[in-house]
Amino acid sequence: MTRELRVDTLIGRMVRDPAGHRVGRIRELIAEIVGPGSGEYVVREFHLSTGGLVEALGGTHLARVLSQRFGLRSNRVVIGWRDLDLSDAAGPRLRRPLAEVAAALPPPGGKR
Amino acid sequence: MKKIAEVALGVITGIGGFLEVGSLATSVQGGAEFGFQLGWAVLLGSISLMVLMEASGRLAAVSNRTLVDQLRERFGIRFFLLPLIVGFLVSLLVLSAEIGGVTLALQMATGIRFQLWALPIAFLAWLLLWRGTFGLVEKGASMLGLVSVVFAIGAAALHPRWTSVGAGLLPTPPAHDSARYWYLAVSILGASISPYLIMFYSSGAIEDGWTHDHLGINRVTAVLGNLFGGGLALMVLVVGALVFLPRHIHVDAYEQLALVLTPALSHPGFVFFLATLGITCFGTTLEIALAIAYLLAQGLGWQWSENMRPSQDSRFSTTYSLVILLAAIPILLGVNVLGLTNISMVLTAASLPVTVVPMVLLMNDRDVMGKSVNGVVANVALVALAVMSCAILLAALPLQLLGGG
Amino acid sequence: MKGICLVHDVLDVQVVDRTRRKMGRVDGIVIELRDGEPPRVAALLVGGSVLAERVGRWMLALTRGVLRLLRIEPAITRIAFEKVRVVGSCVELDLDAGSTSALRTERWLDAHVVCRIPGGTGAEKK
Repeated sequence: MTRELRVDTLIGRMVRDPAGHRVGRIRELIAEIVGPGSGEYVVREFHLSTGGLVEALGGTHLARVLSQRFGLRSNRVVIGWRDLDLSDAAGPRLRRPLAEVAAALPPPGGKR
Repeated sequence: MKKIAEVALGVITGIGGFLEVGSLATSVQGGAEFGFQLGWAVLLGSISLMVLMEASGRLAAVSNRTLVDQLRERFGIRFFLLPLIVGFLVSLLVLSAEIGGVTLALQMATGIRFQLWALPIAFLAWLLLWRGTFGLVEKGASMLGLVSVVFAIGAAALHPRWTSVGAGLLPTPPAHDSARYWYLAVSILGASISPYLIMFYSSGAIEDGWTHDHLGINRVTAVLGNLFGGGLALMVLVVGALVFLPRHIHVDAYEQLALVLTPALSHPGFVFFLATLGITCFGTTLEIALAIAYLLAQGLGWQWSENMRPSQDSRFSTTYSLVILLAAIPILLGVNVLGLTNISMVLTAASLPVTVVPMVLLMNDRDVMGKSVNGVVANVALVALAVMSCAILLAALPLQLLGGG
Repeated sequence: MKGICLVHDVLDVQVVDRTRRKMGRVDGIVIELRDGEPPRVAALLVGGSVLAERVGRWMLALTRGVLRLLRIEPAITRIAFEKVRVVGSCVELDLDAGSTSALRTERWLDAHVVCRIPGGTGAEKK
């Protein structure tokens, strides 16, 4: 069964863990090509921002620039596609507790 | 050799294109009411414009995208709506004032009422954009705008005490009417630091195919063009101070402004003033109409270039056509042009944060600027500008109410 | 193209066709959720009403109202993501803009307004 979703309306949605606690807002989706020449891309990861004053004031861009230039850690969490339940797009949820699924974001300048 | 020619052309364009209805009106009024004391506002406006133009030119040359492109791409549509709507409305007001400036010059030259000139001037401006290239618009208008050098001649002919003029370049508190003083200071700043200029310059860099190789030209053009242009605006203030202040003349109509060069240069002074007013305002009319079309086209992703035939970029060409017509309507209806000029200058100053604050981020974003990100000096200057623009925004409404005159 | 950031690299970026003609910006991106498989990036969306929806429901209602007044059908251009050739300073598509509805307004203006005015058509000015 398939269902379509708009990325642009997904951005900024708060993700909660199975217990209902806030985890972070969806800020980025990383897509990768399935195989050379196929032209098909699939979403591998979701990046969540875990709040913070900088994001609240200046959004993603400010956080990224500050992280780039001053090495300030931007509070990001990486969630694999398997671990995010998007059956309710208005209220996305983790399938497992955060401690089990999350990985820290690589340092700035790593992934583009 | 070619580079020197390019730089020279760029600097001349900056000088000839600096004065327009706003800087003429605000500088004369500033001089008439406070002597040389507001010289610092003219200087600050020029320096601020240098910083912003250099930054936006560098951004375009390095990223191959205009400032508006980057505002939409980096900040998304929700934020972008703000500079889009604010930029559109404020620029439209200024465009009206510029058309008004041309029509008033023609009224004073021919005796025919200025309202009747609104549509012919709008048509001529539209025709030049429809048939002309970017080069023609930018350089042609600015070359003719060199007539404004007459203000330097006029100032020299009045033999000001140059030490006093120099003293005015440092801010001093006013001896009287603080609200009016700061209102005029903000108006002068708004006349120099116009967001439409930044957008026009940045788009021009793309129209002219600027790359990393043009970073040097960009810097020299932005600095020297605005230094000399600002110097001209200062001469306008000096002339206003020497002619109106001793006679205690409060300037509230363009007909009074028109006489500002007469004491220095007799009847030719009047003719040259009209030529300066008419030509510089007409050139700015072309620039602003294009700037508004650039804003919409780049923000929404339409095809755009002043070098293309209108049918190749129909939405872009239709936009500047409609915008010129829309802006001509207030003039056709006989609105007070000086009042419109003053209000549009204050609003321009107040609208600066929506352009300047995001620029601080863009100029520090390595994904955008690569190795050409801002250094410490550029950052200090840009951040100071951003803070100043926010202060102006907060002060604009109170000043308009208290010092609007 | 390897890994791409859909928000940073694709959303709001200029879209050009195979002749590098500008045809709008990526106003929306559609992903297809599939059971047991990673979501597939299905399509790009270009169009004013897509943009309006991102701003808010009020903006969408306003846009639809204005279009209805002018008796214009909102045009949302959907482009299969497989048509995306390069994601860089712009999103390059492997198709001609004319084969999509992205230039509907542009073509209408060209045919009904611009071409009727002398000097509107012809080779590039420069």
